[in-house]
Amino acid sequence: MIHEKGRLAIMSMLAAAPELSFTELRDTLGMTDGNLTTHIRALQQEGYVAVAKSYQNNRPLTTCSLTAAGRIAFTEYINLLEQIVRQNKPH
Amino acid sequence: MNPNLAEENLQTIRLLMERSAIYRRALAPVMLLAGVLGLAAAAVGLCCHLESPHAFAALWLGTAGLAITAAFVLTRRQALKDHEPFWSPPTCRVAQALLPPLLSGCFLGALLALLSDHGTVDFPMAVVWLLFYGCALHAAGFFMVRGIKWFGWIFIVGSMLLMLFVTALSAQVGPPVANGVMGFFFGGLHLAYGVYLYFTESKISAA
Repeated sequence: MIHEKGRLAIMSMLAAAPELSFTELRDTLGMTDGNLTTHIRALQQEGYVAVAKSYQNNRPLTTCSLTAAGRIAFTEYINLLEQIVRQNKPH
Repeated sequence: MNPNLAEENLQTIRLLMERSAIYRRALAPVMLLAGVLGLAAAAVGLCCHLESPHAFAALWLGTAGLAITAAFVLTRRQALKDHEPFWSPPTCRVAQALLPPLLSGCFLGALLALLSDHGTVDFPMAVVWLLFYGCALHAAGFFMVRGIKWFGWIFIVGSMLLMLFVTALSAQVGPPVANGVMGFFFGGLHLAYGVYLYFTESKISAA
């Protein structure tokens, strides 16, 4: 699930911030609204990302954050990557 | 998984994690505005002969207050335009980094103005403000684009060199020089950096 490039990018950004708005994610990652929505929905269904909808100054604001399960999955994925890199490094 | 791909993924993750923690609002309008205000304040100080420490401190602390308020309004407008929360985590980090040195500088400057009624204190006051402002920029630079740290260093090194130069020459520096120094650093440098950012900022954030 996290391995896919777009979803990995979303998880990486959310791992470094308590929460990020939809527009912050979209602009930083250079994704289209539709593409980002699809990826976020997939991560949400997996229980890795929580989406909160609110209003700020009478404008809709969508914010995303990592859930505890998402943080664990992300950490495990990084550990796996580091393990692969370590194993293949010449001694 | 291919080890090269794993390494590449790790690098991408690192880069994106850093990027999400960095303050991304456009700085060019803020810098340009601060520059214009700085130059205007220097012109007012020089033309109106605001030479007493109280007048000097009131002029520049007032200008600082105006610049901070204007920067606040500009960045808030940007956030509203982009449908983003103004007090985002990067904004909070930048504010927290800026606050201690800015407050300390303002406090020390105001104290110098209160303790002396002689115009010779204007120059040390200017140097103190340059030094603390440089420290504030450098601290905030950890959560902003890399150039801000260098911009902070210009203020820090500039203030030290000015103090060294004046001490070495044992020169009596009058209030007009202090206004000129403030105008050069807070007006000229902000304006120059604002023009640079105006032409480069979109390219930097897209990279």
